Amino acid sequence: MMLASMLAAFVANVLLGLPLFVCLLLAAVVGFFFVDLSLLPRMLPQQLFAGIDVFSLMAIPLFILAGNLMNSAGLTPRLIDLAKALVGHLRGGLGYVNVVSSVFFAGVNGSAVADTSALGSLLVPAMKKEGYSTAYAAGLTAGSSLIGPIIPPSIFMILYASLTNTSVGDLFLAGVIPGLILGVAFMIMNWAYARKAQLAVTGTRPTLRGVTVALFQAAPALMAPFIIVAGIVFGFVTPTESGALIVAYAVAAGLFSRHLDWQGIKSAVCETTRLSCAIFLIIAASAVVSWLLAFAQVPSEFSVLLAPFSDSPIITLLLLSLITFVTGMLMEEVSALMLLTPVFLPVAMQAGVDPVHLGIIVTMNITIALITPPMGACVFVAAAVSKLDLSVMFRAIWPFVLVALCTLILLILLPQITLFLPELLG
Amino acid sequence: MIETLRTRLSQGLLLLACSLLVINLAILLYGVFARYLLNASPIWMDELARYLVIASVMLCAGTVYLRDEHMRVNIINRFATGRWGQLLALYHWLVVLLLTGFIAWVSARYAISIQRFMTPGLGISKSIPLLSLPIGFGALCLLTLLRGPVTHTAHSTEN
Amino acid sequence: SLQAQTINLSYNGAPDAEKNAVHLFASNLKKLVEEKTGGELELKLYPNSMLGEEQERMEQVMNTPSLNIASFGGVSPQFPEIFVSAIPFMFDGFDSARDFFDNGEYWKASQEEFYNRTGARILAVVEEGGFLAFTNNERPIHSPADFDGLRFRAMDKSQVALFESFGASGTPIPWTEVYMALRTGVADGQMNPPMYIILGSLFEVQKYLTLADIQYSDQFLIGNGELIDSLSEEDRKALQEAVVEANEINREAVESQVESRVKFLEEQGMEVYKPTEAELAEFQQIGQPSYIEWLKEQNIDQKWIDSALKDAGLAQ
Ligand code: NA
Ligand code: NA
Repeated sequence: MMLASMLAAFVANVLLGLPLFVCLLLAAVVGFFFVDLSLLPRMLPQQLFAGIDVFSLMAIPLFILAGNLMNSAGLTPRLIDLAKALVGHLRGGLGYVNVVSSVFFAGVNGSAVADTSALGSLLVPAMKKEGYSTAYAAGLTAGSSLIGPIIPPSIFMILYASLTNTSVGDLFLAGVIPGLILGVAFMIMNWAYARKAQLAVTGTRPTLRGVTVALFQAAPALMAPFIIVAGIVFGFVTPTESGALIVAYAVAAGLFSRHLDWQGIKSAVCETTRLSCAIFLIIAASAVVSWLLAFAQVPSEFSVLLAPFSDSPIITLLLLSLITFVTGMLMEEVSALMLLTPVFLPVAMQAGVDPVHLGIIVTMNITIALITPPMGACVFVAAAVSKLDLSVMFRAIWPFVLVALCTLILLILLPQITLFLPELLG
Repeated sequence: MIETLRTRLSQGLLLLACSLLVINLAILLYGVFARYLLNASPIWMDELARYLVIASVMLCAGTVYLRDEHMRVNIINRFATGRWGQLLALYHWLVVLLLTGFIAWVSARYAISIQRFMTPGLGISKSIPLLSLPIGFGALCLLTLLRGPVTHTAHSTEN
Repeated sequence: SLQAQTINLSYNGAPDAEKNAVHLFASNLKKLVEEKTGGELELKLYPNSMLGEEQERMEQVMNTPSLNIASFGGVSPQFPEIFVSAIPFMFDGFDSARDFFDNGEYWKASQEEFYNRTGARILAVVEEGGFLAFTNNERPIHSPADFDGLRFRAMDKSQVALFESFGASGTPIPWTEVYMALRTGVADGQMNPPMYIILGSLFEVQKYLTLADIQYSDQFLIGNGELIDSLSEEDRKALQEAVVEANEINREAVESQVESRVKFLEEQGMEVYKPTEAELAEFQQIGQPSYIEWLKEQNIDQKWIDSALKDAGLAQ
């Protein structure tokens, strides 16, 4: 009853076009009526604040800012020049570039949202110019950004590990191959799109001279991921701090190459602030809803339902994925992960699922939730950076959700894909 | 007159929000610098970074609302024209006005009620960072009031 | 009566009694309370900080009829004098630590003062993982001198003070980022009881373990004052008995697990060192005064420190 009423309030107001954070807050107010209205005056502000009072979230504005600065500094065209020199002669070249740079960026940060915002603001305008539809370009950016939290490092995996006593190292290793498979899946999709959309083959075959020049020109932009990778993987800074470093680098590189001026910095900061505001308000509001669900013990009701299926690992994982998919449609991802993992673990253990395998499946699921309407952070960011209406974006994203789901099912059916690397190296 | 007030307030808040974000950046950079060159970074660093970002995003919530940059689904707005459009605009206006006003009020009371809680890093009263909630929602409420129940079309107003 | 009263109990960590001693306590308490009151009182468990992090949960227990298991992070903003109970190297084993809380004057006064300030009652000291140990990735630590130049992850300011007194430095890193920070060298080491070293898989990224019995690892069961007062005489007594019994079970379990956990860490490739009496005395001589100095900087009244040291048998 409580769930149904909250859902009704939420959906009705979403359809009426109110901002999503307002819809979430309205659903929360409805929820408090069912739980205990006297809790509202304390718990609503407390959870609004606590929902965004998380250090790792602070990386979001920084990576958005870095992307905006690189844009203002005019590095986007150079990156595109390099992409053209390398794969521009292929049909749908920039689409491949989008996916490949997602793989590249994946080694840089653990959050798909940061990825979408950085790559989206870099690549969507360029893809539009090359004849892609804005919806496809935004969809591909959001879709391929899913590779981010699958390939290490990953905030989701660190959270999962802390909840389940699983080795973070094993989880990180386990994510490498699934992440690459996801990349290949999106490239196949791009190949099909490029053929169907009859994208013009604009570039000529790459020459060594052409590639060298483009590489040299794009070096400042290409250096950025290396700095982050060196920073995190080889060890100087936490992911949030690496966001700050990359912003500093972007400013320095932009000023040095004289492509960035005071006006450019100002507008980059201004845009970042507004976009961050839009994202953080949704995170904060969904934290209130998540708290209500936890308080009403909605998660533990799931585990009772799941008990009868505990003799088959595959069926169990498929069911858990289905539940995550539905939950992820309506909920903010970190809280969904925090709520579902403790419920899932005992069920999965009983069915004989390897905890590392479960970790990758859960991470993958939660990541897919990032691009599933109506509540997917990456969809929002992709729509925002592409200046695309959300309803258009919601329709455009489904093929990408489908590709990700196919990859997920492959990973569920063949645990070896996931467990190969940790068993080899771990 | 009202329009000037609204624009000034909206721009002022955005400027403040931007400055807080830049200060946050500076603090994170100082933290990295301090860890490697001074071999110790201050314990309050990550707390201050969090509070600055929270204050930043809360302060410009109203500005972002006036610019219609909060994420929302734009389906019915297209079909609702004329009288229905006005009715919908009135509904939006009332809901946002009442809800944000209510949240500003409860969060102000809440912020004051936890005055005695000290933050572990900076050692300040937890009320101080929490005040960004009532200020942010209050500004959102005020700006909505000043704008009036007009149709909210995408990317139209206030630059 | 037919009408069962439901009380929420929130805490951190997974609902896994094997790995999380706090859950072991919570689930035993639930079972015992329900048995003893014939189901009149029911506990609803909220593990995994589901209802909020430390400070949020502390606020909830102060303002709503509920129970909460709080760590230092939850108690200290209201009652910084709690840090006095964590003076490093104060106990020489489980018995002296338990005696300190069961029979000491400091703890009795703390419970009263906490109630005066918050209206909530500290009902029990929940033992969670034994004693804190140092880990690091640079060199074996046998005595304070080995700390020179190392960078340690610090959870709060008191830990910074401790590390600095040994010639190391402290850097703040949230728990969720500790693994990565240690792996990549953002920090060289950290301190935690073996339970958490296993929970966070820190043994994968840390080579040396020093069992220096730094601090007793505990959390605090807090009950809303009005809730406790509103219970019938019978129910209140049943709750109190259940708390004592659940705590007893926890103490036995924790103590019996300490050795197997250290052995597990050894099997995972950690080099384990148990400092000698003389080395421990050296840790105490250097670590304690600087920590006490830090307590004074926090404006903690000397009487708390004196009383605690007297209870621990360390009064000068
Ligand atoms: Na990516
Ligand atoms: Na979603």
